[in-house]
Amino acid sequence: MAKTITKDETIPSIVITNSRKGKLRKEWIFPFNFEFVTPTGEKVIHTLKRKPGEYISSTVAEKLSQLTDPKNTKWHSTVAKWKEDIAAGRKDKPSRKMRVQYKMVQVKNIVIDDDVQRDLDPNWVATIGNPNEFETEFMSTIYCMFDPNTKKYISINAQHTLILEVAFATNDLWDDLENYNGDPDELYVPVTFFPDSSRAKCRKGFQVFNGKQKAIEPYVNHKMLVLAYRVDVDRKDKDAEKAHNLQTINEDEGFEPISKDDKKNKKYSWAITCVSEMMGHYDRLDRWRFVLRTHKRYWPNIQLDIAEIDLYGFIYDYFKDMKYDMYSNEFNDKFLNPCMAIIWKFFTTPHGFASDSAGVQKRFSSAKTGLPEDKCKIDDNGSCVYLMKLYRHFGGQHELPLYVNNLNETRIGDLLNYIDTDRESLVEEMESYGNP
Amino acid sequence: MATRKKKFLYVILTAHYFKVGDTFKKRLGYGVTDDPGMRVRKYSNTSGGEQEFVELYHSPNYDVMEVERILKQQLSDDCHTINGEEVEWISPYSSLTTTDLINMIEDIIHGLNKPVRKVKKQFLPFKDAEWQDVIDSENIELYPNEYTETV
Repeated sequence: MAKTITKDETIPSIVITNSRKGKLRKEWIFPFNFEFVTPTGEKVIHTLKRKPGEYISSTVAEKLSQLTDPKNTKWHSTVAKWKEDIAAGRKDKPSRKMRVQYKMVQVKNIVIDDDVQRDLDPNWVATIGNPNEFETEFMSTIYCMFDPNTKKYISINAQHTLILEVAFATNDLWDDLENYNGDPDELYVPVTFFPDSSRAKCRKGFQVFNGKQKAIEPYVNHKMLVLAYRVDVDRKDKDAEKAHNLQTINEDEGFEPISKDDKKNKKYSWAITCVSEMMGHYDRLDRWRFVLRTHKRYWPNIQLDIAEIDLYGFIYDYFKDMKYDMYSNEFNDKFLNPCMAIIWKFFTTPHGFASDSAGVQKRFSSAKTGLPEDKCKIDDNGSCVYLMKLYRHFGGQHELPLYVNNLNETRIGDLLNYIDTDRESLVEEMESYGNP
Repeated sequence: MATRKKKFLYVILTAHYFKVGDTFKKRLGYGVTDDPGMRVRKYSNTSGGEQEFVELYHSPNYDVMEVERILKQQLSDDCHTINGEEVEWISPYSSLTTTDLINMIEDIIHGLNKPVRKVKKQFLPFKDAEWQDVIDSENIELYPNEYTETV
């Protein structure tokens, strides 16, 4: 085996060794080592690993108990405020009688106030009625205010659904129209309503129904698709199958996506919180597997960071195009280990690296465009390019894609000229390897 | 402009008590800063009483910023919320103690395998007293063994 005998001080990454035949030869060694850590081995909770028909449910009492946990200070403040206002006479207790009621109402008794509802959008009616997706059960409830003075129902919400329901009748598209004489005005439709005669209340109702909605987070969409495939055995929905396939990779690799509200599991290193980016890999499963494996190999005890997805993803794209085996020992030894050593030594974690990279790219972009840094955008692959430039600067010998030459302008120089001078250890090491 | 980077991570246990149900509790928190003296004075000024850091960690290469970020993730279930917003204080309903929090921080430091060191006991609790003026980045980086010890 070759024995290291000396180091060429002018080129720190070259060591001179004895070959077996006794001749001296120069051998490349990357100047920084990545120090691997032992995984803590947290047990992964695979919430979505389910069998057909395996449901998870809870009672209202359980949910109520969850709400009243003393930690939920915002909820307790809200209740306290109600009680104070009622006790002080500033507010009345809300009446149960004002809860919505339900009735089948003839169309002729419904009034659409154009100042309350938006203009009719025929395209939206067509979208709701799209034969590929339409299901009667999911038609919205027609929401109205019943004016006791005029005996009319003033439409507040779902006018497009109402018009679609009537239009289906006039086109003879309903299978089971009962007591319908062909006059759309006579058609009965399901209406939920509250009694009042103030149009101002209608306007407020419209805003409440259309304005304040808790957005559906990506995790919920992913979960729905996976469960449709696994629990409901839906084999027609292609997206469900894709979600299941990607989820299987997560499980095989020891990861599990979690909801942003899942505080119990947020602490674990196996939890995937960047779910939207994960879902962007439904059609790129091999890329996703590489992202997870790379993360697990180098950073087993911390959570996958959103920045790692693009970083490892672009590495995968570029080196796959160049026909390298990204799971080989050679690729790890010559490229990935040195790259991760750079991240670990100078930026602590991939998140720290991405954060620094954003600053470097913005300074470069600002010099190029003259815009202030906070107005400069960064490239999706910018962090990958930055890392490859550092790797090359410190003597990395693996073949690199031509993208490494991006972010270099004759007028302003290379991206590496814009590193953060606060990063003293990086600056010192870079200077010892010559200016970029 | 470069993001302001921090070299110190602190643990604070308030000098004052909060009423929690029928009991009174101090509040446990953490944070990062580049000037622990200024930071502890801010806590004191805004709370109306002298505050102190029970533990103080330092890393020349800003590693503490990543330690804090990981700590925040790990504390998600113990995190205090004010008006629905998560803050860098431990919930008064959490059973997490000061020792638990310190152990968590030190586990993260070990996990990252980075040269984060803690300020020696003789300089703690840190309250920006005159005899603690020596605790700054420059001194610590020049004489790490004088002021800090390994975690």
